[in-house]
Amino acid sequence: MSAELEKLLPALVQAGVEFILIGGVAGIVHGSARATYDVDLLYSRNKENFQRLAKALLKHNVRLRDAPEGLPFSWNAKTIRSGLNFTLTTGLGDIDLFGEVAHGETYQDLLSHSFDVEAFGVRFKCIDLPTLIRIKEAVGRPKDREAIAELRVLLEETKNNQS
Amino acid sequence: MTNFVSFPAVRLVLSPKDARVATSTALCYSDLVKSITAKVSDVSDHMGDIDRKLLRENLRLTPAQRLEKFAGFMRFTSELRRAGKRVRRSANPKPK
Repeated sequence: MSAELEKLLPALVQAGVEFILIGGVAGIVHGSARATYDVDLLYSRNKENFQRLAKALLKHNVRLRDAPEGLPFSWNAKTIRSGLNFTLTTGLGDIDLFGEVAHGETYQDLLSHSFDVEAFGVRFKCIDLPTLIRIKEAVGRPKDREAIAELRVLLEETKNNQS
Repeated sequence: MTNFVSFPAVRLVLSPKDARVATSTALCYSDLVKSITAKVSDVSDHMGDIDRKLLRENLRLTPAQRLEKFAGFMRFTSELRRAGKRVRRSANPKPK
């Protein structure tokens, strides 16, 4: 299910969730023309943020994506604390929540590689382009090669525009 | 007996035992170099296929405008998907 960005991002920001937009949607922010159906977020792993994240999505029917029917799952701060990365389906679309990305980098590690974006009436963090490329390269999935190529072209174009 | 194992930039002088270990390491290293080279060239190959004109159009927009354009596209595809579902349902109604 494709994500409703215009509802999801404000819901997270208004609940005070600390996150950095990564993945394909971050690519869109940088000018990518590739479609993506889920939203990838790197969230801060601390007690307060577990509670905020749980509360922000609670009313949006959170389920584990591709999990067998009937698998017990409850969305709350304890579940988030006990897990790390979650692939979720929600009423606002598919969301991938990452506690860590490639090489175990956390929200705190990548905060200095992010910048503020204002969209849909809210302000949130987005990963910078060189770091987005580095994360995708570290994951090393064959399906990402075209996406990495596009991001590298975007980096070239951005540098050309600046010079 | 002296053994030599050559890496791309270094040549090591080793004991026979170390040479066996180093030879197998060198093989792994060579596989690793091949795989990294393949990945880099794969990505570079794709770079030639990228529509730079389309990206330049996107780069003229602000990040917020890019996200809004994308959100609009996603709404459009969702509507298409729902319409497709309705068509399939009406073509194959559930037996009563």
